[in-house]
Amino acid sequence: MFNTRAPPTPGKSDGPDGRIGRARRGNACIRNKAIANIRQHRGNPDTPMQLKVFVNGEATVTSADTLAELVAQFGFAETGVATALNGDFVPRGARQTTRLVGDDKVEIVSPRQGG
Amino acid sequence: MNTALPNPVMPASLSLYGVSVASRLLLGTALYPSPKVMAESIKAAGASIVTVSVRRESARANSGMGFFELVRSLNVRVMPNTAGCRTAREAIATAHMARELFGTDWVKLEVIGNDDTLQPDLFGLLEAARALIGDGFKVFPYTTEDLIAAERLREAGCEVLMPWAAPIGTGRGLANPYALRSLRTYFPDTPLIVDAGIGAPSHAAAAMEMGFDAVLLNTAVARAADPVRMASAFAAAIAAGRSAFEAGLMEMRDTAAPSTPVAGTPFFGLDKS
Repeated sequence: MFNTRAPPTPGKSDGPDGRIGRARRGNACIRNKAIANIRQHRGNPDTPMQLKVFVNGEATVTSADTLAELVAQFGFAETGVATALNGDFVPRGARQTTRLVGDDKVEIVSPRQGG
Repeated sequence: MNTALPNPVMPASLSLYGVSVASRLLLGTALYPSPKVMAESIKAAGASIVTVSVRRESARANSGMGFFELVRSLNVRVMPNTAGCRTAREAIATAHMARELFGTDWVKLEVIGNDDTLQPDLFGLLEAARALIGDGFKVFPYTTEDLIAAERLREAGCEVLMPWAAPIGTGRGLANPYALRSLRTYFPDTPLIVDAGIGAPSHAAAAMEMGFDAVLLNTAVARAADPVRMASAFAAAIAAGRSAFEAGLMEMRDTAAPSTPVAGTPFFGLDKS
């Protein structure tokens, strides 16, 4: 249900036996590439890691490693916002362990007037 | 005085998911000319439940919690909505974000199927309701008058239903009174809150006279020339409508029936001779 990135749970694109479907395999491929990039950058302290992610629909380049770091970089109070990653809710307590990869779509919301 | 009759000043209380609710007017918090007018309108309405929402926060504004603090200071229960969500998946994620921010498992569940009518997508609504009830939410589904959709939502575990009067923001009143009356008759024991499309206090009174348990509105108060005064007008209309329902309305008839006694009418029968 929640997006915690591990372990993978059966989703819409998965087969009836829980096998990973084509769409998910495609995503996993992109993610592996991104994680490989991250590892490469980590080995070299002169090159700060830069990721392109979408925050509230806008493309953003960030050095944040986790969702928690991204929230902090934007200057939001930890308890003042709620988050979702690629369409799934990420609870406050899981932001620290939720690693970002390229082209992630992050939603950061706060209370607002409503009818 | 006959104490067995419901007291019009203290009508029978309303219980939603086991919570006793003092006011039968639920008010939205959007579209007011200022936060101050919003706060005063909520007080004038005597509302015990107000609807709120979540929206993308901007690093520049960072204002969301300020709004929530103001609402919290009014001592009302908040009901977050999933306004603008177009799919069950969006609504589910939004409800979870709202639960974390507002600290309540109540949710006004909206899954919108059409931009022009803001009509509920009943299929997405049911899917989202099932998932959220499984996640421990108290779901208040914004639905139509459709009886079968209502039945499925009840089966899914929705203890309260919120049928529309007319499309959101139109102020047209009860667009389909026959269908609303059927819904009320079909679900005599389910709390039913008429939500959306109410434009005037008379519309709200009509819904209450039909036996609906409460009314949820926003635009009709927020967009009035004097929102605070309109809020108290709605409170009075809803109290009157509820009292009228509890008092039992007379039967409508097709032909006239004199109210003044016929027997003893002066000059009666004189023109016969």
